[in-house]
Amino acid sequence: MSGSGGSRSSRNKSIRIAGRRSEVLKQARGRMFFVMAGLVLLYVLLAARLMDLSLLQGSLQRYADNRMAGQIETLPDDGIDTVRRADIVDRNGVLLATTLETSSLYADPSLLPSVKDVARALVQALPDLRYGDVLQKLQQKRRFVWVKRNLTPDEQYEVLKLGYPGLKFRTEPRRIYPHGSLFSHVVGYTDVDSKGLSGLERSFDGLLSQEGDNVLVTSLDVRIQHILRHELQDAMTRFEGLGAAGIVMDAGNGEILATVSLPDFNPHEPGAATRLQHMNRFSLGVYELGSVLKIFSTAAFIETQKTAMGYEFDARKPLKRSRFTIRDYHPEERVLTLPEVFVHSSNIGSALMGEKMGTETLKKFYTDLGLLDPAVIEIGEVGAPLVPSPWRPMDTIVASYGHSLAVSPLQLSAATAAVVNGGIKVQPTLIRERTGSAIKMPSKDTGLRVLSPQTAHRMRQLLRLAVTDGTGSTADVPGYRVGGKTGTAEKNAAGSKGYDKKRRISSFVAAFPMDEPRYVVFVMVDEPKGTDASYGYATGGWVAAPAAGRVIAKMAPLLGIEPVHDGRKADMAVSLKKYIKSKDAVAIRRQNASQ
Amino acid sequence: MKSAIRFSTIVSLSASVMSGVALFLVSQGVQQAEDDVYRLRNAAVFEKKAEAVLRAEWDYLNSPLRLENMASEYLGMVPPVTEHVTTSTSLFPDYAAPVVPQRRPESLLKDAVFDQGSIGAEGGAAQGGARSILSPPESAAAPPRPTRRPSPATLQQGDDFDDLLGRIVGAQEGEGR
Repeated sequence: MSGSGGSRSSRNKSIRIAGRRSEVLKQARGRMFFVMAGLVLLYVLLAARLMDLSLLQGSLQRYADNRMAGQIETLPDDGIDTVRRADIVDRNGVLLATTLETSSLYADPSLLPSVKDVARALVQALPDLRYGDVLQKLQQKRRFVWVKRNLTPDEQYEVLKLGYPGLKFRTEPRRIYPHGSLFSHVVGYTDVDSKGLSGLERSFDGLLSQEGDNVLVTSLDVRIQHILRHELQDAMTRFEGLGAAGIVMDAGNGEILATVSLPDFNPHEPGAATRLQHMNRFSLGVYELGSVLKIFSTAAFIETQKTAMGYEFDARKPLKRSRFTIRDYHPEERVLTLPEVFVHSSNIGSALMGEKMGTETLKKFYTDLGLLDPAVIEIGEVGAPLVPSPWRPMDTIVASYGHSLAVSPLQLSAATAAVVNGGIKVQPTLIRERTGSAIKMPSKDTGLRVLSPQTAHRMRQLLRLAVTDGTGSTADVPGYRVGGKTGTAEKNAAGSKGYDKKRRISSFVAAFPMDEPRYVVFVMVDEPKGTDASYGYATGGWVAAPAAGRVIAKMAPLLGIEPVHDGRKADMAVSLKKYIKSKDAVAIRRQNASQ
Repeated sequence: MKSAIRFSTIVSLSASVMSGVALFLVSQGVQQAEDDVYRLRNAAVFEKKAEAVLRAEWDYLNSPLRLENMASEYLGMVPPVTEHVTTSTSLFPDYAAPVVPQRRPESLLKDAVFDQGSIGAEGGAAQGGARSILSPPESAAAPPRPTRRPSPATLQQGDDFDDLLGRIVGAQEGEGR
C-alpha cells in the first residue's frame, strides 16, 4: 500500500452496516431527528415568547393618549368608565346637577425631601390651606395623607409646578350644580361620596347611582325659576321679610315649573348654611295662610249649597261666636253678596259660609282637595298640615276664613289648581311626564273630580273679580286675565295663645289666563314690614300680589302665552259686577238710610 | 459518515419554523390591535369627560342671571312687557320683499321719434321737431306718481329699535288693541 493511496483509502473508509441492522439504525436516526426538531421548535417558541414579554409588552404602565399636558391618569384596567352619578336636567335639558372628575391632592410623606419646605410651598400654592394643618399632616408616618380634595385645574397646575414627587393626585367625582343656589332646596345636594342628602338627589339616589346613561328630567324650568326667585328676593328685600316662598305650577297636570324658598344656600357648601337657609318653606313649612283659603270655603259653599250669586251675608257687625269675635280687616258694615264677600275678603261672610255648611261638609271638601293630608311629591321634605284635633264647630268657622288650619304652599297651589282647572284634582310632581310614569309618585286620587265644572267656572269668575275689583288689583297684568286671592294672616304669638298683630304672612295665589287657566302662581313673604311706599301696609295686596304680577308678566311671553287686549267687555268677571256695589252706590245708600 | 437528510425532514423542519414565525406575527398583530382598542376606548372616555365639563360650563355661562346682567349691561335690554308681545308679523317690515324703485323709468318707446338724420351722426343730437328717445316729451305732462302712505313700521334712516317699537305700540293703540 502506498502512502497517498493508503491515506485516501483510509479517508474513504467508513463502516457500513448492511442488512437488517442498517434499516433499524436508519429508523432510529430519523426518530432522533424528529425529537430534536420538536425540542428545537419548543426552544424557538420559548425564545420568541420571552422576547415578546420582556421587550415588547413589558410590565410598564400604559399611558393613555391624552392631550392635557402635565396630567397623568391611571385608567382602569378594562378602560371602561366607572359608574358616574346621573345628571339632573330641567324640562328643556338644561343641566341642574352633573358629576365631573376633579383631582384631589394627597401626599406620600416618605418621598418628600423636606416637610417644612413642602408645607410652606403648598400654602403658597393653595392659599386656603393653613400651614399648621399641612405640616401636621405631612409629618405623619403614613404613605397616604389627604391634603386637599376636589382641586380646580388651576390649583392642580400650581401644585404640579412645585415639582415634588411625593405630591400626587387622585381623580374623584364631584357633584356640580351649574346654577348654584337657584335650585338648592328642590334639587338638593350630595355628600363627598356622592350620596344624596336632600331634595331630588336624596329621593332618587338609587336611580342616579345606577350604571348607564340615565338622566333625570324634571318638570322645572330654569328660566321661570330665575324669574320667581328674582321677584321673591326683591319683595323680601323691599319689605324686610324673614323669608319667602313661591311656586309656579301647571294647572292641568300639576307639573311644577318653579319652586323657590328663601333664604337659600350654596349646595356646594351645605355645611356653611344656617338652619334658616336649609328650611324648605314651599313643601316642608306649614302656615296659617289666611284669606287665600277662602277660595276653597267659597267653592265648597257654592258647590254644596247651590246658592245664587246674589245670596247675602250680614256683615254689618262683627260676628260673635262663643268667646270669639270675628271682624273684617276692612269692614264694609253692610250686607254683602257672595261675590262681595270674596272680593272684599270678608271674614264675617266666610265664617257664615262655614257655619251654614257645617263641619262634615267642609272637612270632606278640604280632604278631597288634599288640604288635610301631607302632600305627595317626589322629595322627602314634606310637612304634615296642622289640623285641629278635635275639630270643633268653632274650628269650622275659623277654618273658613283661613285660620286654625296650617297648610304648606305646595298643598295650597295644588288645591287652587284643582279649583281653576275645571274641578279635577292634580298630583303635584317635579318629574316631567315624558320621563315615564314609573318614577312618579303614584296617587289614587289623581283625576278625582272635586268640583263641578259650573262651580269651577264661578270660582274663576270670582278670582278674576278679586283682581279687577278687589284686593288683588296690583297683580293684574294687561292682556293675561289674571285672577287670584290675597291673604294676610297673623302669625301665632310666641309663647302664648292668640295671634301677634305685628307678625304676619302675606301671600297671593293667582292663575292665568283666567278663561282657560294654564298656570298657578303662588307667592308668600314671611313677616314683611310696611314701607313708606306701601303707606305702612304689608298685606298680601301690597307685598305678594305685585310680585306675582311681575312673575306673570315675565314668564308669560317666555311660555308663548299671547296677551289678549280685547277690552273689559269680554272679561269673564263682567257678569258678576252687578253684584258688586261701588263705593259711591254704598255711600248714597247710607246717606238715604240716614235721612 | 454520510448522513442522509430526507426530504420529509426538511419539510417538517421548515413547517415548524414557519408556524413559529406565523404564531409570532399573529401574536404581534393581536397585541397591536389590543393596544389600539385600549387607546381608542381611553380616548373615548376622555372625550366623554371633556364633553361633560364643556356641557357644565355651557350651562353655567348661560345661567339666566348672568345672561340677564350681560344683556342689561351691554345691550341695554329690559324684560318685556305685554305691550311688546305680539304674534302678528304684519307689523314688521318684510326684508325679503323685492325692492320697488320709487321712480319708474319712463317708457323708452312711448312717443319716441326716430330722427333718421341723427342716427349714426356724431353726438346724435335731435334736429328740428324730432326728439331723442332719451328725453321726455316737453309738452306732455308727467304722469302722477303714486304716493305711498308710510307704514308705521317702516324703518327710516337713523331709526333704532326704540323708534320702531314706539311706532308699533302706537299702531296697536290706534287699532284699539
